[in-house]
Amino acid sequence: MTKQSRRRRHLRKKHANAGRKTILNLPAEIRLEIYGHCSALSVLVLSNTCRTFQSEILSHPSIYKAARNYVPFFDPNLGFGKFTMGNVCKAADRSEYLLVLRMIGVNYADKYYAPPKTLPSYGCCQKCFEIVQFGDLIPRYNPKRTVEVGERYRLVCGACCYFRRRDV
Amino acid sequence: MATPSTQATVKLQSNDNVVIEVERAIAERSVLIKNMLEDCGEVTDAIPISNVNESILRKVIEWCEHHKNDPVAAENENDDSRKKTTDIDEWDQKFMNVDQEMLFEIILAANFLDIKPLLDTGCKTVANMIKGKSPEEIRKLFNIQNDFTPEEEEQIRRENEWAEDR
Repeated sequence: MTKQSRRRRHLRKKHANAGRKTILNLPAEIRLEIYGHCSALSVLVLSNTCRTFQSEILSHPSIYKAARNYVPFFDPNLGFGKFTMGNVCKAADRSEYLLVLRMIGVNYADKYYAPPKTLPSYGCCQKCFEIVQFGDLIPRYNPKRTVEVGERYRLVCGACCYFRRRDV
Repeated sequence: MATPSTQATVKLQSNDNVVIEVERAIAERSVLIKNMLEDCGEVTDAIPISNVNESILRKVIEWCEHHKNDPVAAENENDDSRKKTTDIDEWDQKFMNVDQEMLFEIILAANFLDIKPLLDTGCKTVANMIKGKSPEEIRKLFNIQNDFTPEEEEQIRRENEWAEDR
């Protein structure tokens, strides 16, 4: 495709979207309202999606500080005023848990758990979805599960491994 | 005959000049209309709703009809707790199961008409669409262009690698 035709196509696309309502041409106050309903992980992902989201989210720290599953975390390497994975303490549900797995590039939902070649620095407990250091996760063998149903090993955090918690 | 305070119906006029007659109790789910009616007493003319077209207005009225018996939440009461949950009841989920443009129009109309619960439901629906998606998937979902430079992307990746000690 030539540069010109790509440009024309881009303009046509832009034109087609001119009168339509998309998330980017909503008023900013509505977007702020939407961020207010997102979990910390969602807000973090949004801030990495495009510049509009990024500037809106990072210039209003109250958005992510009020989000579910946010924890204060100070990274000496990055300094103040940063919002990163370190600020997320938990994945809200299974879909976010799977997202964390994809973000760290591990698929331990395979039939047999095999440790990745380079260890990621964080991981997600498969039971309570708590985000902890990867080294703190313990593979827990569950003979009741068949390979067809899912993994026999579950990577869980210490609390889920040693205590049967009722609340999770 | 209806007295000014118990007028049974009001007429709403969308921006494409369609007049819809609704029960006053239903129209009063909108704080904007409620305040307007309180200020003006009896209104026999159609109230122009300048930012909302017919299909969206009908949709909003449909929502108000279904929710007309809901208790009106006191102002600023548990403002935080309503944001902590993403649960949407079944009827609302079905109601919000529309295309993206329509969804945003409903949110805008709810904001304009000042119908807080509808605005919340709409925003929660969008938040649920976002949940569990990677940046690339969100761009695809909302048709957003990636306007980060490769260097910025690298920096984001590095920042999120994270955390020797926590």
